[in-house]
Amino acid sequence: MSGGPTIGVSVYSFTRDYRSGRYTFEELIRKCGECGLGPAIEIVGFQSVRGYPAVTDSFALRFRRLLDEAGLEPSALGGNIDVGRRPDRLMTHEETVETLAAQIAAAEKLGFRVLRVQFGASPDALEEALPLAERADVRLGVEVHAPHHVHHLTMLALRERFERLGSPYLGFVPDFGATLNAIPRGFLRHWRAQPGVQAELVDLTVAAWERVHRGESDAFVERRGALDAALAMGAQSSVRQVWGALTLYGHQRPADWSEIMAQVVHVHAKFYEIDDDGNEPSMSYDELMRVFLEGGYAGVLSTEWEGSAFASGADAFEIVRRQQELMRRHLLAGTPPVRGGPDASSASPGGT
Amino acid sequence: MTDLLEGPLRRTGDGYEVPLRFEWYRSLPLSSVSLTLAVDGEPVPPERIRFHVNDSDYALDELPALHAEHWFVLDAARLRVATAEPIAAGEHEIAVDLALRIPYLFDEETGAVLTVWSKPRARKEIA
Repeated sequence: MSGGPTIGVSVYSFTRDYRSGRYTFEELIRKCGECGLGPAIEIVGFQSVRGYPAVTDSFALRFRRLLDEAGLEPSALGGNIDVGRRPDRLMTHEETVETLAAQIAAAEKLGFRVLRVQFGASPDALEEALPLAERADVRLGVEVHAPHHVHHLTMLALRERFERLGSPYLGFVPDFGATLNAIPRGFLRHWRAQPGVQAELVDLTVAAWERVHRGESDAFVERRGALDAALAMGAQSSVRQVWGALTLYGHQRPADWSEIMAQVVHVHAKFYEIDDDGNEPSMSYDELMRVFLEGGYAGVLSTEWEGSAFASGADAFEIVRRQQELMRRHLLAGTPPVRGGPDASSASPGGT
Repeated sequence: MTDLLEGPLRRTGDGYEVPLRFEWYRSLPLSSVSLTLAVDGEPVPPERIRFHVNDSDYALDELPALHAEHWFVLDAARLRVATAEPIAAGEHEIAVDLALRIPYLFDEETGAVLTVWSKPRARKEIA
């Protein structure tokens, strides 16, 4: 297993407990250490650091000491490219480079060797920020997050540019949410249970998801249509669910990750639920782990639980532990055979 | 689920204030925020509301320009309402419609930035 992937966790997984005040940021980090969820720790800058992207000396010192004491290592800093932060216009090229520079500096100061960036960072902006990243020894990883996928035009443009520049400081962060078999059951259950929810809106959103999943229509076109429908129905409070269903739960085949494997700098091992058999019912960890192990991936698999918004009863630390157990099963077994044949990933779209 | 209106309704020097949190996983620029407030079914005129975060008071129409100032994810803002007459003691029905533009979630083809809404409601007592 030497040279294989390292397991870790993103503190994002504990968003619910953090927002509710159940645990402070410091307590979450300590508990990750106590529960053995590391060693690799990822944080979201705008979630965990007051004043981000500025990082004070005292915060950086405290953070580094905290990780040391807990026996943990920094893996990736989750950055955001807030292209739409101004209501009057999107960010310019110069502003994008500036925000990249500020967040590269934040990563360096906190000891992270990877900065996750988002699709709003253009190839030109990333190319211009590259010397800063090299000097800071911080790799820039563009997250490939649903509804994007490795074949989306935005991603193809980045792949082409990265190929040409050939720097190990430019790469990708695959997010397993891009490769789902179904909308997570808990998400739909929770949405349908919201007071005043219009069942018709849930149904049309699910139908849109299924059309995209069958390859009959484009995810972005469907999302625009469903968001318009929600507003036309006066369902403003459901916009986040419509958006979520058609943004978070992607349709790419797991095997397609192999196309960018050489440029993967970090992985978001996203998950929503773990069933009684220890599997994730909305995606195939069998296939995902096979693709990354066969591809020789030796970086971090950073557990990212995104079920907290709808799995209100679940204990975040326990469910993260179970997902890591699932990944470890595969690491110990090496590269398992694919179960269920090539069509297994497209079976039963939609969920319940 | 976090109660977005958790905390007391309080009297201030020239009126009262309502606590308000938001529902997203990360801090957001103040330029993301727009809101309306109604008390006992009556809309409060926006020019009477000041949005208090980071130890500062902002008029609602100042928020769109504040794209470098953030509302920290754990902080409750306070909606400070100036009133001509003191608000009556007793229970009041508080209704906030909070719209948040999520700055990194935009549609590359149209340039549209996602806006999500929360509409917390609560009955609160003031002494």
